[in-house]
Amino acid sequence: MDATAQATKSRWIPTTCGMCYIGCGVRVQVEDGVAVNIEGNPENPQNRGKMCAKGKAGIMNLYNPHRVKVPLKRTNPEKGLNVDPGWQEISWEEALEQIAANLERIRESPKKLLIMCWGPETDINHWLKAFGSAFGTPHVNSTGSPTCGKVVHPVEFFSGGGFHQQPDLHYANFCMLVGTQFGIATRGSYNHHALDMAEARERGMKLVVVDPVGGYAASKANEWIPIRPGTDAALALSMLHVLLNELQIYDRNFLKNKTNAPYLVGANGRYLRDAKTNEPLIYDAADRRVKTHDDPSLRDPALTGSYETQGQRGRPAFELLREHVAKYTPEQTETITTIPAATVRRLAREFGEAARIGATITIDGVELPYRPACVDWAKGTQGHKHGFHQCWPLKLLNIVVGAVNVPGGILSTGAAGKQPHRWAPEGGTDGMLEEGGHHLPGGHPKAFPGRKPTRPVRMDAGELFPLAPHYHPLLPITFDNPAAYGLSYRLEMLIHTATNSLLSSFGDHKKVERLFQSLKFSVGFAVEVNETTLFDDIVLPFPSYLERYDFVTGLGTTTIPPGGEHDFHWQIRQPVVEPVAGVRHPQEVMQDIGERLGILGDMYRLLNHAFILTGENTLKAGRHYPAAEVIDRTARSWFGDAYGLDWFRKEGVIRLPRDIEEAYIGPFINARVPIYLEHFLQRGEELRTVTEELGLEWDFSDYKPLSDWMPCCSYDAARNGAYDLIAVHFKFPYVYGSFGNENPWIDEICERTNAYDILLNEAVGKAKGIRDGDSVWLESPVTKVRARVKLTQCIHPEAVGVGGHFGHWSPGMPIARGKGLNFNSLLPTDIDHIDKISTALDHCVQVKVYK
Amino acid sequence: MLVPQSTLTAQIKFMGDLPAVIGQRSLELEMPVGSTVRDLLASLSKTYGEAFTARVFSSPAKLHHYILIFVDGEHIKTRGALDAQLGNGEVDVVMLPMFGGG
Repeated sequence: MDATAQATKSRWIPTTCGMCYIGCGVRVQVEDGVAVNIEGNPENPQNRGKMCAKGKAGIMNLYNPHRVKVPLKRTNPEKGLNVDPGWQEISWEEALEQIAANLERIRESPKKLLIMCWGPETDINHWLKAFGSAFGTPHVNSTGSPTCGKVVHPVEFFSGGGFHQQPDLHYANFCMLVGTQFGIATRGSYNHHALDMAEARERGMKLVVVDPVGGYAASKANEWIPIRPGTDAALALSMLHVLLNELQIYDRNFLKNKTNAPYLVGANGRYLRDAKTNEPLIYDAADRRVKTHDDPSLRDPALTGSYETQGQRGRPAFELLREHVAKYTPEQTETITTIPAATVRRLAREFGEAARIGATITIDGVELPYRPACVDWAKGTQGHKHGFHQCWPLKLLNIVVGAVNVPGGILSTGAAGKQPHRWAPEGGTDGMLEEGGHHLPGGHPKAFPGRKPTRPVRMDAGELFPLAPHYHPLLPITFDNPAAYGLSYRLEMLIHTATNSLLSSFGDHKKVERLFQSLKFSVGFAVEVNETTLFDDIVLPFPSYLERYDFVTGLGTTTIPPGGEHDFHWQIRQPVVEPVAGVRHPQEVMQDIGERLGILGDMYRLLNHAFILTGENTLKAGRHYPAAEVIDRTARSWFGDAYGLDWFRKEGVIRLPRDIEEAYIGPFINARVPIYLEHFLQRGEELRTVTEELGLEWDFSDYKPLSDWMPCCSYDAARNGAYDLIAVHFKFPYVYGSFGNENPWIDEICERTNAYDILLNEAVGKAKGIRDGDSVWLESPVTKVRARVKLTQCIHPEAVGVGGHFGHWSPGMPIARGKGLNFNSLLPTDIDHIDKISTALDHCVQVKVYK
Repeated sequence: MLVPQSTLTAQIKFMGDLPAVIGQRSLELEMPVGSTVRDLLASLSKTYGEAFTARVFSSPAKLHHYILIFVDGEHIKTRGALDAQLGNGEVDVVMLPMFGGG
């Protein structure tokens, strides 16, 4: 074969991976219309040519012989976890007609529609949000997990300015990971940070991993510190005590000028406020006067002392924090965390000294504070009954040493940019960080100032969680007894994306089953028939990511791109092979449904806003647009007419340089971040009024301005003798949700690495007479399942580790069926296991393990 | 001789969470000529109470960041924000869903 013929037969097409929520740049080799290989795109600054096992295995998702290729209709009216739906193939016309008819049925009461639109972050997410909003339902859930992001996003928006956090691996010399495997096995821009992490370790950065499970991150760390599950806050509060009270290591300049540490707090816990302006007051030691926080003459805000003004006495919030954490001595917290007191003291000292308070660094001619030490946390610390307060003291560690959005510290992701649009976090109420910080305009979860609680109209009673980002974990709880929350209707219809929310988005399967059974009509997009699909009345085939157009291709470009000195980049997703006959682009399907209901123009109005479409490129009522044209219009709106779809098809990725103000936003934000959560008191009081009106018993222990460690249910249960272990969840770098569980290559990796086993401490196993590879019962308060045991020294002796998201039983997933177990199924799912601030479902559960 | 109109009729459409609070997706409201979005929201707050106000305003006269208002199809930020003048056209008041993660 000559070279020309070879070239026409085989070509490389740039596109975006879709095997998780990140969206790495890839190039796919296609021969005779068949995808045969996937490589990382070296031009993409997010993954820099690197790929993970999930991405490399993506071809096997595309060619999964069990894919859904035509619309399906349920013929069996009975629904249940193990009920055969009796699928019947139908035409698109019949499917859309039935969907529209059922939507018409609830047209006058649109709140009866539930939309689960986690996609993950792809165009269908935005189209479903636009559809749900235009239809008029409040139940548009765009998150996937019952824990992930529940705390970090609302915390990060008010304490950093962006959506998520990242250690600045370019400059950090000390990095402590708590309940996360950042840069080693998980998180946004993972393939990027894996390289940065390796380079940071090579140049001598100390990596400390605090986790009940000694997993991938621990294996790369200088030090793994096993911690009793659900006690992270006790460790953090103790480290704060050592820093603030024993060592006096804290960044006075940062605390005075960039936080609310100097705000005067009265005896009632509230700020002292100026009688005229109502702004919070500060004592200025320079001229010994009390002033508002925004007084231009403010020179030296006091962090200590007691001051009287306008007839009230107040003390700086910092002093309250310092006194508050004094009760968490390392000796006291050792009994909670099992971490030796000497270790806590050493960690605090190492962290505080590594922060180099007062040091500066000059980058590109700009002098910046240099704080090369940070603490990072994520999923593991969020999933607790008091999840917010498990996490917030960890963030405070960074704040007290000034390691926020400066070189070497913790960076807020996607918080600011100058191209192709301008966005940046801004100050607001009380001079605190409140606005902005997100590239795509939309509802972003912020815990400040929160919302005033009201009687619920939402079926998830989200109104009773005024500081939470989203509320879906509550649905299997609240739907069972809506009257208790003052609700007098029921959800009747569900539309969901091609994900598996039954296994991934909630807890106890029996409760989720009842929720799904209660819905009169359910519509799901599907790549394969998973356990959620089994409850659907209509199934719509969904294109694989290798057959699909998306403009928004993952969080790696929008909200969790690499931080620090990296280019802004954008890429699209384009089909590399022809879609399977019968599969339609979901953007076009939603246009059809919207038109049948007469709301297409409203959807376009919201999409024009969401995608920042401008001028001639806006979507116009009365027209239908092929998916490719929507991508083209959006690209032209953002980057100009020279950079339409054709340019991206050929070039793959556009890069725009960022300057120091975008890379290290800390010194450039004109707003303060909190160390004292004054508004929690107000929201708690308002909520008390509402719950009393409803006659609801409610736990208000989380509505406090300074965090305490509070035990999870499992902590107490494991101490009263009923159970002796606590199960925790952990992640693998080759598993994301259940996206790849039916992929034979990923299955092979899982088999070879014992990923389907549960982890049990070797000494504990021996004491119980359990050997490596034994089959055992794993029993939680809500279920018991068979599991195979992997004995290891790499787990806390009081913990059981359950990895991945397995435990499938759907006949549509023959490879995954019967392998491993689904951690969420173990979780008691009731209001007592919900964090009252964030709505995170408690993810540490008391268990027994026996043969 | 033409008599100047003293009132306007705004066609208000609610999206997102708000139809569940208002009880309907749209309504017509007669208001004095010269009324602004601020006046409209005040009127709606009076009629629908705290359930509406708490969702729309983060503090007095300050909209929550997830509230989106269009007057005759145009975002109010380009028409004077809350001081945007109403006409006899359409007003869309949208409460956007939160973006998540996971």
